[in-house]
Amino acid sequence: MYKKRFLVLFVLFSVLLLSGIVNGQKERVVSLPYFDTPGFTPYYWQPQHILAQGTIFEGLFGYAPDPKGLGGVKVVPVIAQSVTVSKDYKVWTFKLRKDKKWSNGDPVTAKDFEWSFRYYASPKIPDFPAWAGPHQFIENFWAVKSGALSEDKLGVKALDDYTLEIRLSQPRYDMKEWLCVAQGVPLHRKTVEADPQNWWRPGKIVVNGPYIPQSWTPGKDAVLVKNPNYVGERGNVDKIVLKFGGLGIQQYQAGELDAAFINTVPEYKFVKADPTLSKHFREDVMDLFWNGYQISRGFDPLMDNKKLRQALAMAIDREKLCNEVLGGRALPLSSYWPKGSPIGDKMKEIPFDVKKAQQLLAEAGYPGGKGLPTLVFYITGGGDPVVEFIVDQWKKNLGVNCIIENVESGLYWNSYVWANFTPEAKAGFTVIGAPMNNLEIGALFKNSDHTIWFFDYPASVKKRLNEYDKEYDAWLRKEGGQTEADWKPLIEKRNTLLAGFKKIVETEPEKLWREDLTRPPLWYEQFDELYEKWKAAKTPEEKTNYWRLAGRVITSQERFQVEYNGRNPSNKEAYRWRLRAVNRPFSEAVKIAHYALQIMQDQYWMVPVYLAKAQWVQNPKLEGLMLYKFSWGPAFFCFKYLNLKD
Amino acid sequence: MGLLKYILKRLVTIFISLVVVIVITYILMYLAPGEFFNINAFSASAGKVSTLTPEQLQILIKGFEEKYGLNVPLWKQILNYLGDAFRFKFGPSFSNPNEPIEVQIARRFPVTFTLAILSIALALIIGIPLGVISALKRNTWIDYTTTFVAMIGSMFPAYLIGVILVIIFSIYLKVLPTSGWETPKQMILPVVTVALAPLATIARFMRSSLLDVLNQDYVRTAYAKGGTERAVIIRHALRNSMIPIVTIIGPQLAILFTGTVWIENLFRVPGLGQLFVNAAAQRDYPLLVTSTFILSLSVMFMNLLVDIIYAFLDPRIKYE
Repeated sequence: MYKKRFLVLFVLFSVLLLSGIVNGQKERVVSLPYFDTPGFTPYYWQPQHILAQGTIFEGLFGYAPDPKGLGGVKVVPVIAQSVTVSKDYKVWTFKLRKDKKWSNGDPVTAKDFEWSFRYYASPKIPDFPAWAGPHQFIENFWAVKSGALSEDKLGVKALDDYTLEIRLSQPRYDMKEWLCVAQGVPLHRKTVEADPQNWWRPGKIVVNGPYIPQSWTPGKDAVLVKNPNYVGERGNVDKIVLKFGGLGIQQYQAGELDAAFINTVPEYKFVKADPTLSKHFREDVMDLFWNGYQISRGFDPLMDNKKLRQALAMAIDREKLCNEVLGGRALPLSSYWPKGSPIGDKMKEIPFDVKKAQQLLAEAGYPGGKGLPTLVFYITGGGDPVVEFIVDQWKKNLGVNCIIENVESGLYWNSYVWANFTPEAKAGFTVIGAPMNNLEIGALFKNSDHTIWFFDYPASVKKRLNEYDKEYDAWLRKEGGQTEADWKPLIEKRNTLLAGFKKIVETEPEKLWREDLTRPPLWYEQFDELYEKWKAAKTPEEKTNYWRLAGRVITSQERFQVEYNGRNPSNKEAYRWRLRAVNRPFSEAVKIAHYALQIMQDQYWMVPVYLAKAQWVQNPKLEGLMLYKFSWGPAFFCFKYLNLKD
Repeated sequence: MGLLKYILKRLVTIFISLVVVIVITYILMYLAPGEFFNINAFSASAGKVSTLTPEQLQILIKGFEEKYGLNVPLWKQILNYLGDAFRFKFGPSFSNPNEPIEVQIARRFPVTFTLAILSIALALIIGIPLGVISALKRNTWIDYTTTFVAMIGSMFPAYLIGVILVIIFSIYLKVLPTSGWETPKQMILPVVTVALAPLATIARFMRSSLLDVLNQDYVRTAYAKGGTERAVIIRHALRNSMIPIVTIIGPQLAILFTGTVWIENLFRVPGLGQLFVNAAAQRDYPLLVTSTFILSLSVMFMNLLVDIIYAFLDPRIKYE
């Protein structure tokens, strides 16, 4: 009898608790669209790295909303309280807040950062994408990653519980910006060590951000709940359901999402025509990207003709493209940064001028397109209306023939677009949507600095560089190195190359570049060291290994000298300006980034065409939704500012 | 005893076929244009990586190759893979370095399996009677209507039908959720959407198969012996006309077991489809070879199952 009563009471109480009556408040749940996320490890370059930036994890610095800032954000201290930096910008010392906690109640200390950064650097994560975070600049990172040095040799040290020192291998003026990214966050040591494979799973994961992953079903959703131990600014949302896939707008209409992205022109028209949805409509310009095309850089010297490239860039009616093809979901873009941005305001735009373009084409040696071989525009997937429009414009305005060739998507993205240099590519183009990955200074160039690395060389030089790349890899498998005779040609090359190297260092006018080139370890010192080690080597395997490494050092230097001497003058000039920009604080770099950008843009290897808009519908009761404008965007992120009005 | 021997023989054949499939898949992957190892595979764009020195890039590549066992010759990679695959150990995939592929499959397969079985069951429950009615009421408005419905089902892509169903039932009538896979209510739309194409096929096959059987001598004999129409159709005609249906259900199920990518994405069903399709799109080699392995395995097993069911349906078939 009593048991029954107790059971009834218990059930009633549970129901009341669930309905929020006992708590006195209703649970505030927000459902948002998100990428299908393959886990919650923060350091991989995958959808979860966006979540790691201020939602489930936090680092020393983070993003806060700033309508005037680049990408609509500003960098603010989060766990850091203050920072001091040495004169040479190589030693950064952070004082940490003392009130920050992990979701299990443990305090967040400098030791957490020390341990986590060593863990990231260790060979325990062999596929750690170091290019995506600040660790690549930390003293001894690469030696630790390769296993040559132990983890405690990494330039990260907890001076006490709340003071962290980071020593860098090179000056970096943008460490604060770098430390905002996912790889800048600490992990909870005990949890990771207890289960290195599964520590990140909901139920096990310990986080230091405002939300904890409660459940995760790939292909369906992830649920985040409020971290009760979080200390810091945050909104009133108790639970966030991130939904993967589905029909966004229809889910929103059915009340199953609090925001949904508009992905197509028909969807956009539908939303604008609907009396309710049109009131919930929002849009923002993805101004950290530029969308356009780039030359497909193979060995064909045809596109080495600057006037030809310029003529093509000036013969596209960007206005018409945005209105007629992209249905108003994009803005015309004639420079890497749009007007209205601190960098774009200082840049010249590529005009739409058919007459001038025709004149340039004639000066390039192809009047009215005559004599110009058929060009190839590489695309992937089921057709690209933007490319069709551009090709049509070239035909109509210049008489230039360009065929569209479809490439399998894996090959296209991995070789044609982002490898930037594809020996088998014919003279022509690929599309590119180039973003900033974060707010580091180098990202201000929005990948247009690929002009420096890959494009702005004569085709003959590209060919030679390609040969050196193959040679460099071949050294890994070469047999020999047992006798002095094997070293003789290498030593001769070393001496010849040293003369060439000294000449470069003496004649290069830019001090920063000279400093870069002469930063230890110098290539010839490495070579000499390997030669000495070879002499002392005991086994044939060791001897071969030192000889191979020395061969790689020589090939690498040969390649460098061919590359340095083979750059077009514009390439060298752009590179000097780039160096000047990255060697000063971020706010100062913004003021001079346009010099390098303008030189690169004026070579027309990479041509901006349009700027995409992010468009979405949003629950009017929802505030503080931040748009992620970096690469992987558009997406929503940094949910700690979310508020759901009653 | 004959059956057991037959199954054993078939299992050996399946094993050999799988080995051949894997070897061919691996070789094709290596022959495909572009590098087998590509910069994007360890989720890095070459542009960003280009700012690293060749030595630094080499360290990243070396670490990546070690993790995925790519640092040994091709023949050894294939042998290693086969050794692991037959123990259902597949290692991590490029697109998800966080967990082994077998864990990803184990989590997603039950969902896909449920969706496949429910859809095929629905297709059979509706498709067979539709086909039978069509055959019996040949050239009447009933026949034309069912044929028309079946045509619609096979003509329009499931994705489009799914969207239309969402608009009708979720947006306008507000009786069903747009997506999800937890409650029976959430399962209705994806199951119906997936079932439509096989339903149409089953109805059409059933109709022609039954018409074919109804013209056989033994059916005429059954009628001549005074059998009622109902008895003749159920007892004599139906069983034999089911054989072609079994033939089409086998491969249909096998395909459904490896997921229906569009439908899963549309209805947020956490099944295998998205996993396997992304593998091809992103050149995720470990996942690509594993999805080939799983698909081949399920097709071969379904074919074996179909052959066994055949014999139950038709006593004239002997296991050889």
